[in-house]
Amino acid sequence: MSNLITLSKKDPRFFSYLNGNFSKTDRAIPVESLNVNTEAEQVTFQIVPLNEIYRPMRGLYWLRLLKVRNLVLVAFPVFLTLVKNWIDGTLHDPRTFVLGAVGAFFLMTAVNLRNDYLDHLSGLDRVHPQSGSQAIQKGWVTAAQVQRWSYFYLILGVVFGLPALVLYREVLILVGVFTLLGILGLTSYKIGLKYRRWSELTIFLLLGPLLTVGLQYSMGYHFDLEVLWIGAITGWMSVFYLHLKNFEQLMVNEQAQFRNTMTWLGFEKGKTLLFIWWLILAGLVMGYHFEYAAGYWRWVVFFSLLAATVPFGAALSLVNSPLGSKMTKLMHTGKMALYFVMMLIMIETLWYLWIFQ
Amino acid sequence: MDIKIYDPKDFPAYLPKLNLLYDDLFSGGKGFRSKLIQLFAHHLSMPEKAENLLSQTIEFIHNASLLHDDLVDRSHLRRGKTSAWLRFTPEYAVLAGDYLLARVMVNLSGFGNIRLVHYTAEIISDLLEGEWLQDSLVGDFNVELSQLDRVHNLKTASLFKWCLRSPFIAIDRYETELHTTLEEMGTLLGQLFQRSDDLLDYNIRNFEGKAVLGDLKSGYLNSFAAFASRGFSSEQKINLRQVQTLPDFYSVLGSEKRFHEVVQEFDERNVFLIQLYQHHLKTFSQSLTESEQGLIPKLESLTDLLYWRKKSG
Repeated sequence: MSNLITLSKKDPRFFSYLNGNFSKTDRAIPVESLNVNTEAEQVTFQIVPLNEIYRPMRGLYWLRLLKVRNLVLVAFPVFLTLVKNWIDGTLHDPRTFVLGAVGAFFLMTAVNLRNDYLDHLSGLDRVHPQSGSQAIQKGWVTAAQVQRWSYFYLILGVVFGLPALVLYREVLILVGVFTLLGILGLTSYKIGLKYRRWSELTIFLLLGPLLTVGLQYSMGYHFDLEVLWIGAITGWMSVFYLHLKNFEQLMVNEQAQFRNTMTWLGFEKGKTLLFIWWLILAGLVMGYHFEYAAGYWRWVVFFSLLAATVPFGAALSLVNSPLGSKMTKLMHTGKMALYFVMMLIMIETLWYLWIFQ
Repeated sequence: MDIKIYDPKDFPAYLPKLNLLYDDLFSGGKGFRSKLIQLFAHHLSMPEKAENLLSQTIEFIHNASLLHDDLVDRSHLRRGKTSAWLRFTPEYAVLAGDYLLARVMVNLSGFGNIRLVHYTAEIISDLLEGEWLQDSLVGDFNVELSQLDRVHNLKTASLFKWCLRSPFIAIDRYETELHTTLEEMGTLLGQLFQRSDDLLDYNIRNFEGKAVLGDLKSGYLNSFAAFASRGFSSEQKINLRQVQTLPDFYSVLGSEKRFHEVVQEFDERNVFLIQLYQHHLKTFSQSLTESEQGLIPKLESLTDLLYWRKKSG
């Protein structure tokens, strides 16, 4: 018989079980519930000895825990900003830029870890057992460890970002906005960052204009419209990804009364939003290309966007239920379309690098 | 206990066809849910009037859902007899279902416990949401077990939750922890009942001799089929759509031996749910007074009846 224990939030042992520091030899894994009540007064834990927990190879579970896939959303704007300035010859302070970029990766990792930790504390990971890194839910690590690592990466992020902060006052302002948004998003653990409607704007700014403009300042160059445009594209992409996830989780979010744009719009209008969001993204990418790119790439990108839009639009039109395999397929198609566009732009950017060398 | 009439206005004699439809529908039922209510009523010393009302409520809601369900699914048989929509026309079946739900609201609101009315309305809403979602999954041969669990939590478990929680609401016991535990127990009973019912479709523990493969042939991948077909290749999925007999199903899985291995894996997974239920039952027992503890052994054996289909349970 499995070792199960139900603890009330009033029980003095509750937080030590939830944090995972109640024992050195066991893990307390909260049992998934189909009743999406994160305000529940009690949680049932399955107590599993550490040696019975299946863990993938260390490298693999670190990749999962640090959500390396999500880091693409930072890597992409960093790469574009770097290449743009490299080609323009405006990379005046490469050392500060590199430190700033590495700092951005660490900060993103800290945010991801912190979000996992807060989702665990608030019960969101029991409501959405398939989301997040699942490292805590599977017992690979304790919530307390995740929290410690989030602080560690936060400190690293700040340390690496310090030179840019000291040398360029504009970066300080942007980091101030960044910090404010981060604090607003993550200080309360009643509800996770991604389940609030305003967080869509936050993510747009953090992974879009704030990041690209800040990085450009950190390399000793001033603001220009092109870097803002790049930021708009990358921010829009990040929010597209978020909308996709929120659309997939529409039913549970609605049942649990988590408010975001998708739950506000509902299923059919949510589908329309996803398509419009995608079209605007395509428009932003095309607009950027007509303004800044070489002529032939405009057409390559145009036809590629068209090629990505057709399967995504088809998958979107077929989905008729918040559950089922059509939804799974839509998620896959949407993510593939996004990665395809990212890949295309990266190839194009590498092409420019090669041409200008 | 005659649950047909709680209030003199239930089933008026001037509607003979409605009475006939009701008598025909209810005559073959086991009334399991109302028996569960009566079990609680007995151990919680509930007034007879409240017991009668709750028993009627749960049977009316359940049978209203069957009337509508059979029509939606175009099922020809219910409890071994011709379905109401075929015998009395679809229109009468819909009206009879609506009538049952309306009587539930009339009688419950007359009882005067607004929390009970609110909770019952919520449960009916869940039931319908589950029915709606399930219908949207017909023809989906790639649906996942976790997705079906969400449907079953709405469609099947909602009534079990009601059976466990409503007796406490009716006697004005609203402790949050008690209701959270009962909610989890109801969810688990509903899941176990549904999964066992889905196994009947593959002739597992089918002691009553229900028709097999009904779900699969009508394009619905039930919980066992979703479990068995996880990781299927696209060729296996195509073959699964063409299954007409159990040997066909065995051959899609590989062999009859493999089929029984999968059943065993499915049972093992559900044994964890049973353990979880037993655990919650212990937590629940702490909320009961000494005189109410007699309820525990009765509830303990419920999983034998609902999942393992043991009659003695």
